Amino acid sequence: MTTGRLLALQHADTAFPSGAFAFSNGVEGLAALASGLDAPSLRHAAEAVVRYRWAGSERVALAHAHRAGDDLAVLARIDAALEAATPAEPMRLGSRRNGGALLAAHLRLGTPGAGPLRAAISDGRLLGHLSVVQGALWRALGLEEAACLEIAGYQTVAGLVAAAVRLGRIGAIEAQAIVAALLPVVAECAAAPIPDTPDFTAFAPLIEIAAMRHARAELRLFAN
Amino acid sequence: MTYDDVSAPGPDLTMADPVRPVQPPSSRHVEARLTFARGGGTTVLGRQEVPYPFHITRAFRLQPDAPDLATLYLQSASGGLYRGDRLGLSVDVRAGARVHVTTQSATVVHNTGSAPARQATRLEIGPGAFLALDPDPLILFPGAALGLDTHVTLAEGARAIVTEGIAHHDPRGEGRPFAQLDIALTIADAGGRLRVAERGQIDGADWAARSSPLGTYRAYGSMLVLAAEGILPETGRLQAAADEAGCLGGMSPLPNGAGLGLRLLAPDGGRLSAGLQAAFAVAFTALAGTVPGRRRK
Repeated sequence: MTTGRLLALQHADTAFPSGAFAFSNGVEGLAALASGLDAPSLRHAAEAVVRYRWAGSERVALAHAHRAGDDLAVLARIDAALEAATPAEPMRLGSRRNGGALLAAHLRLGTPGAGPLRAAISDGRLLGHLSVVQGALWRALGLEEAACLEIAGYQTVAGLVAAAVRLGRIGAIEAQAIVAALLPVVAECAAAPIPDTPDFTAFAPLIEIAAMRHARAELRLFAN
Repeated sequence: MTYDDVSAPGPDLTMADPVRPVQPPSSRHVEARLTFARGGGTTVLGRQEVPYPFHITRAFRLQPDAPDLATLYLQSASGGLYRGDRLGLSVDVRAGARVHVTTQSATVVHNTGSAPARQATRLEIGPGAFLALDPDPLILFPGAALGLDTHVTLAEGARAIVTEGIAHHDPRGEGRPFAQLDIALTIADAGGRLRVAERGQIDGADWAARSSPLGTYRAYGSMLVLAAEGILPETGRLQAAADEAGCLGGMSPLPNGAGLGLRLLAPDGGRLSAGLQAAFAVAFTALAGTVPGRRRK
């Protein structure tokens, strides 16, 4: 195993303090719907998120941010475009808050580029969406673009099932079965060509509606 | 944009063969343009270019307590959208004018074969003007590929409600999917700053798949409610109106202070229409300051 693979394992590890544990990205909202949430419905919902949200939206933002490197002006354009392309506020705010949490961890670790990113967010040049922060920082650490996309895709699925486990809707074994079933979907989507420009596509109405309804709930475990 | 008046002469929709692309004599590349202005204390249709297959009614006054508000029905005389159609609708609502543009029935999108139908809508709303555009849903037949492209520009103090509804129907009841749906939306201010720029794409087979992003629902709708913050309706009321009509609704603020965005899911086109209509009434009341009168359809 190369150092690059070990580095990828470190940043894909749920033990890394990325702040992701605070976000269900719509799963808590799904669990609150009358239709409920069980292992089969979570598996289908997670596949829809990967295919119809992550692949055309966050994945594209991450790849372009990775290619932009430390060019803050380009990162700002990607960030603003992702903001405008995310109509559901819980997803939008969750992405920014999770980006901020990930950046905070990297600041404490002294990751190259974390300081300028923080300064750009503080003075309003950047919003700090998660995918943009991931792309910029993971490149600074030496992770290849393809590895970054696989990590982010994996974390998308892992985060959704982890939220369902914490909500008591599925068990840990069921969670891993869902992750295993969706790894080929993540691999397929991660390997798809990246558009030349950061133009995003997403069509995931059920989980977005669930997240919007969840934002109005009085009692919530997760931030979104 | 075209809207299907199913009472008008056209193909027999129940007998349409979804296997072969349904095609009028030739695909249409046309644009209808409507300009509304305020004059004499009311809203008038100042200019109109309405080429075939578009047809419009005269402007009705259906709001006794808001006689300045014009309501106009937009129709198509051709029985829906066909292979290769590129139809545009441009609505310019000048300063202070108030208008409601609607349709009389749903629009069928026929099998388009290898040439998707495209429908572009350009809405320009001037200072202090109000536009409500709530067409009935689009019904995608098997093999239909449709691209929708909506661009809204709002001046200072402008208000708008824009709805969109999509359902799928196989006249043979065999569950054959439509081909593809591509929905693009941009909202800009008068200075050209983009506030919202979203795009969604889905294949028909995925629409009804077990891992569909619609879950077990089969009809999708959206409603934009665009106005200054103090004028916007309470989001819970919009959501509740949609829910009470048998839909699953969710509403949240749009990016960059553009307004509110409602998404709706429904089991079928009928309940989608009901949900959109119920939410539209709440939004219309807030933005126009009057409860919408009955629109005969």
